[in-house]
Amino acid sequence: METQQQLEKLTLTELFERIAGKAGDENSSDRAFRIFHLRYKQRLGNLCKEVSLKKATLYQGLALEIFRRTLTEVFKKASTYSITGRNINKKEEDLLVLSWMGAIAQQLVDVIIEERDTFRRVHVLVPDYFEHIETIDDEPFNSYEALDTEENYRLQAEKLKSDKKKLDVALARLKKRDREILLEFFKPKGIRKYLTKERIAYLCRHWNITEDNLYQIKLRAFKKLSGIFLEYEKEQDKSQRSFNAGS
Amino acid sequence: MPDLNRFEQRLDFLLHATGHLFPVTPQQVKAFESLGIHHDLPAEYDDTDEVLRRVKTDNQ
Repeated sequence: METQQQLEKLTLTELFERIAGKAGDENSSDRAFRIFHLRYKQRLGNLCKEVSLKKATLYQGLALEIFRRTLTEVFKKASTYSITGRNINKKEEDLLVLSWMGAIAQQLVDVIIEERDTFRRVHVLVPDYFEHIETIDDEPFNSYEALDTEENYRLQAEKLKSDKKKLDVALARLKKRDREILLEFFKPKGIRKYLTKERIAYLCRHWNITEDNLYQIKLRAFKKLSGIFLEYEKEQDKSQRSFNAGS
Repeated sequence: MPDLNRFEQRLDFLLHATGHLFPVTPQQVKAFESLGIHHDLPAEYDDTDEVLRRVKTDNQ
């Protein structure tokens, strides 16, 4: 039997092979999963907590439920994990697997809330690792490497913090319904390339609107949000310029 | 319109990188983590047995 120390030293690929039962012994699957859980618990937990805090719904335990169901799906899809053909380091591998868990978790938020609202089981389209990688392959994979120098990373983080503030202000100025509907259109495309008929029907029932209304609300909310965000940005730039000129 | 299209792409990245939606690309995960957001996780998050129980129940 593999020792705990041996398991702890395994790469992500080796861990997934054991979780999927492709390597190791009969006890390796659960034990490898415990190591995986330990490695990613805090980072996945942070995401679940943060996204749940921002949901308009008051659902006690939402973050924990997303966390547990995401890990359950990861376990079940472990055999789809592969880094074949990719020359990536450990940090990049971590980011990729977290982005996969993010794609799974995002699907699950809607499912969990819809199940709670409708008291019925909702079908989940959980992406395999392969499918997830295909959907993000259009993104320039190395573009974030520019952030690897500490100075670039710091500057980008500062810019992101400032953008986050503007976004929070702009989103808070939208009605709850309009905000939720707008966000619906930015959820990962992935294997769900567009809103499914079932999801549209649920949203129309939930907000008591027609399908036409749904698209109109999305458009209006987007225009309003962009107006507020870009206006705020202009004002900030202006005050920054006057501050620089004065100093 | 080109401005709005550009803004749409920017908004897409920001929503996923600031925790309004889950990050779904490595860039978005990295950006989210650069914000330094930290939540203390209660003990329930350590319960791997519960996850394993669910896997086994779902597989039956």
